[in-house]
Amino acid sequence: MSVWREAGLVAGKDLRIESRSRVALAQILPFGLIVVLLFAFALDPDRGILARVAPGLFWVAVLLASLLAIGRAFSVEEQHNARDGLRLAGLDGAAIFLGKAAAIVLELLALEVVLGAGVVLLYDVDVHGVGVLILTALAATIGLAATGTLYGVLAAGFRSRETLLPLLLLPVLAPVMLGATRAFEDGLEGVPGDAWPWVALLGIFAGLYTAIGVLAFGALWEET
Amino acid sequence: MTLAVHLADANYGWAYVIVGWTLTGTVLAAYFARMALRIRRAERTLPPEPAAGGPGAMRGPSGRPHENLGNR
Amino acid sequence: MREKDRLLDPWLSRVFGWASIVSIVVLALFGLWGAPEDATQKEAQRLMYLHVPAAWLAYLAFGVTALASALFLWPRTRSLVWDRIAGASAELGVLFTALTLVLGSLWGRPVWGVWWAWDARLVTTAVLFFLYLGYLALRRIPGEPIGSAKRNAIAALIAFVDVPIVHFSVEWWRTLHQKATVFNPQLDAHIDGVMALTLWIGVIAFTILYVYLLDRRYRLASLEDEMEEREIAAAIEARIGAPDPVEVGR
Repeated sequence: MSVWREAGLVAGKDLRIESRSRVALAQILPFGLIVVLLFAFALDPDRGILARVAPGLFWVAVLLASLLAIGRAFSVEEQHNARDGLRLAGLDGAAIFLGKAAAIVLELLALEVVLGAGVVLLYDVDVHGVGVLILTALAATIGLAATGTLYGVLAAGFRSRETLLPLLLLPVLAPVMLGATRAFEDGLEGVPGDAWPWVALLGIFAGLYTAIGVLAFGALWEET
Repeated sequence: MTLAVHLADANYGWAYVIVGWTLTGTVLAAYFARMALRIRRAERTLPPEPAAGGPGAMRGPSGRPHENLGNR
Repeated sequence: MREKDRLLDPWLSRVFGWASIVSIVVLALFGLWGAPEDATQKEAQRLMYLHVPAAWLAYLAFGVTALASALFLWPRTRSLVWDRIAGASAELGVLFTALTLVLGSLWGRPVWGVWWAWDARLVTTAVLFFLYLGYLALRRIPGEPIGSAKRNAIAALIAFVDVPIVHFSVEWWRTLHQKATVFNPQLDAHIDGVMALTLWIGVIAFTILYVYLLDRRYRLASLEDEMEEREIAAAIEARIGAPDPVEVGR
């Protein structure tokens, strides 16, 4: 079976688990929305600050929610000896990586749509340059998911996973945070031309960490 | 906080220099001292090696007999 | 797979040890007394003679960790020696990164009036600090030696690859916001004479210190690995209830 078909199987499995357990929908999404709310408590909603910093706040909320999503992607493997089952199925490490990352991408994109709507409504943001926003979100999310899947497997299986994953992952994602926020700012301000270099950076990051994941995930998966 | 504002004057730089240099010296010395202590404790706890080779010798993870740990 | 319990021969290690002390004393003499007071920065300049060498070491140590990790992963050079070096260098690295940040803060406050500034060098160093912390946290997790070493090595390389990306993106970010160039540590420009000499003394002194500390830290790691092996062997012995005929009785 080709790597892509195997990856599709893994992604399908993860998404099916989600559709049945609805953890992302019922827990992670509300978490993201709560973070959006908390920012409003932290900043003064009456002086237009929220609208100005909305891109940054949005991506911080997405980053924090992604920690939960990635942790979840690996905790589902811990029950019922699922990890051993996956190993015995003889799937290529690269395929498992691509499948898991793809599932995370889809979950995060859905999350971003809802959080984005929340931010626009609650922070009173004027939306322009939707094309830029969409492409930015795609590139950023792929980079986020690839890196997260890589670090997720690194931290998987340890009792300290929940505290280890954020510490490992967030510093590495600094460029994604930077790039995505700047691109969103440029898009929303109506100067999409300035955003394209940032989108390119996000794309390079995504490509790089996807490549690393494809190469290294298999070896790491064996060790868990 | 008023103290910090006063010290922002470059003329008080010497105070920062003293703090910086003593901090560096202390941290490095403390780190080295702690490490030296741990090394000494470890060397003392580990019993001396029998001569390398022979059936009674301790084997390292490579399966080879351990080299003599040396005489520090 | 060759096992080494130390990096330098004992006599060489001692040489480096004394050389460290001597060169740091020389650095202190030059840095605190020999080098002239800076025209604009006055005395605060003298912190640069520690801050820059510390920063150099912070990045050198990370480079060594990455290189050692790569050498471990490469099948032909696979040896736990590299894993130990990677870990030892990382511990030194986090120490010097923290020093770099604190010294930079202490230097920045009297000269530029701020404890911190958002420029590429400082921010990348801060991110480096956290990358180190994560790596060291990962190393602390017990596990089978080769498997853990493989995991640690991959983690180190993934983090290493990120550092230039972070630096580039932060620099780009800050140059787009020109107003923030109040803080501009001209570390590389127009420093000559005794000041430049002192800076070089600092870099050399710290490098010698790094080699010495790396050797010591490696030795400690090697000893601790050995103690752990013996504890495991003893525990197994206790379980089985009879002395292992291969082992010398203890």
